[in-house]
Amino acid sequence: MKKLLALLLVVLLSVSMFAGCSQGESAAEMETTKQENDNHVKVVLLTSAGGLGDRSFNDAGFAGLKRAEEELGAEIKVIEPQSSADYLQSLKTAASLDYDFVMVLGNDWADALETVMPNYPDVKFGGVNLKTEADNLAVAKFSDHEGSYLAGALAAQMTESGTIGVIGGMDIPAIKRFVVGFEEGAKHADSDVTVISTYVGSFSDPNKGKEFALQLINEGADVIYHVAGKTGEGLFSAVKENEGVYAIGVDQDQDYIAEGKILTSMIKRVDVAVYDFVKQVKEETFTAGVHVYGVAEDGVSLSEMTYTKDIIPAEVLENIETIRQEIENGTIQVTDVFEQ
Amino acid sequence: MDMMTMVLETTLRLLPAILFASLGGLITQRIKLVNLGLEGFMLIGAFVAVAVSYYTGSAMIAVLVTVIFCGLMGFTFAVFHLKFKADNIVISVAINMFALGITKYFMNLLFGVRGAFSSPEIVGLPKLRLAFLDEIPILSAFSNLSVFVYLALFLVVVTHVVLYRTKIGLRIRATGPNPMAVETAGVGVYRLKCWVLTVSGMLCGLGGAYLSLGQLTMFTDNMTNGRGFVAMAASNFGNAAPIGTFWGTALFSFSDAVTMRAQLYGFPPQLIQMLPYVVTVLTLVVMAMVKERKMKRGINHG
Repeated sequence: MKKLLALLLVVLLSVSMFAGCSQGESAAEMETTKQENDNHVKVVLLTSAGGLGDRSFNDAGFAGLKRAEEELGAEIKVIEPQSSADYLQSLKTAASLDYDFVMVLGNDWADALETVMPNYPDVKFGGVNLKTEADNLAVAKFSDHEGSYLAGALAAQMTESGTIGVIGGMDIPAIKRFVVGFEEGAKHADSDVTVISTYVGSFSDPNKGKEFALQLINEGADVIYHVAGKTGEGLFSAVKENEGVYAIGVDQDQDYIAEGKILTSMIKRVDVAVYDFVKQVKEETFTAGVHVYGVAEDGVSLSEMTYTKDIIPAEVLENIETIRQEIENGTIQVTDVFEQ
Repeated sequence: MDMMTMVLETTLRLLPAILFASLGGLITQRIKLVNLGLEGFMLIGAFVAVAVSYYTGSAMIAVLVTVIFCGLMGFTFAVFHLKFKADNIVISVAINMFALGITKYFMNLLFGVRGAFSSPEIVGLPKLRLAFLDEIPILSAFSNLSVFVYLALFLVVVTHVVLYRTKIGLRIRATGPNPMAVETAGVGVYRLKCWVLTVSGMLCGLGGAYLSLGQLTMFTDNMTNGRGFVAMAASNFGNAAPIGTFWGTALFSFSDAVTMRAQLYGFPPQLIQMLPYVVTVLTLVVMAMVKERKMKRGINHG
């Protein structure tokens, strides 16, 4: 009985370990589809450990992939690694599937890519905000700092208390890049504004996110920007319960989560990058190296402000537009933490 | 609000989740059984609470169902461990992984979303408004807290009384060091253990419900974020005594609250975020030293 149970548990555990990467068809089926259509591009997308459903960049990347499926007839597959410890194994699996293009989301893929890529010179790889270079790797480099600069400028003009806050997921360069941009933008719009930046230490702890938001509100901050994935959901909950405070969302248009209480969202068009890459692979115009997606390329922008247009004064919106143009034509140079 | 009050309020808001779970860990520790599954029980509790609250629109029913459900899970743990003699660590790990997977799966199945589920139809736990405390310094931290904060504190007292002042408590305390003696006294150890594990599950369920319905009204993947393990540490810290465990959880919540606060004044976050861990290690060292000194003096303790 005990042995049987032990065996059962082992089976259960091993099944659950593969649960994350078990979507799609069997190998035999894939073989047939390949023969049927030669000009048809096959793409596999690997999300970051946050996985789909983050209402943030993983979802955005997936949206781009879906668009590629519909408009370009790409055959798609998604793998969601459970943690960054699974990255290497997931990437090896993905690369060995005989797909044309492997796209990874998240900026912690460098090690896994460097190990796997040399073994698959015929497979094309794509990534976001990576420093890695290779002949078969294209990297979409989003100017998070520029988008955050705009968000900061808006926050500084909308605050009544003169204090604004940022909640970051972790104190790592990829997040610092947003925070520094936000601070610079705020100071540009109003040099007297106080910016308080905090780091929760987790991307999936909304309870703590809310506590951080409440602390910031208590400290007088009335516009708070988050760069913290699901932890940021706590911020939205906090602004809903407090009068006169606003949040700013990140990565995707999050304005709908708390209508009227989220001033804007700093949108990062990961979907556009994914779609562009798939298109280039299909049309055989794929080029390795860095592709910049900044304010000038519409890679980053503020949201439409569907629910908050009416509370933001017209001159503020005009001012933001001026700043946007100045970033575009290079008059304003935003500090990029990655370049330091 | 002044700084002290704010820190106290944050501490009180962070406290219940780990306090409930650590009480659950404490009672199983009393029967010499390490229940590392606290984390998984909590996560499932958090999910069930949100789901039931969404469908019924009642936080009361949600909490009730969560407690029953997590109690059943605790009972399952007992059956696997006692009847099938499976290793408790293996069961714990299985429960934790199962909880992660199953909540993700059902979130997609029931609500068609992934990652996070929130809806205005989810009813949160009520708050206890004590307006007369508003003007009193420090104590004003208590003026608007979830009823679960008080429930958690009340349960610490209940656990203490049950453990040290009742027959059942005596039996539970005796089962750990000497189950044979309890058996000889004509008490069914097997049944007792089943009950303890069931109650442990229920307590974790309350902790989970507080996480998803107390502060927020939402569920996100892995929203427990290691709180089950912190609870485990707290009950170890408290030497499996309710009052000691309470201080353990209070210490962890307090250092978390200080961590948040300190960042507002520009302390470097990397340094500050170490604080809870440094505090943990330091207190454990001090505890060990105190214990050793007592042993040397020949006082047999606990």
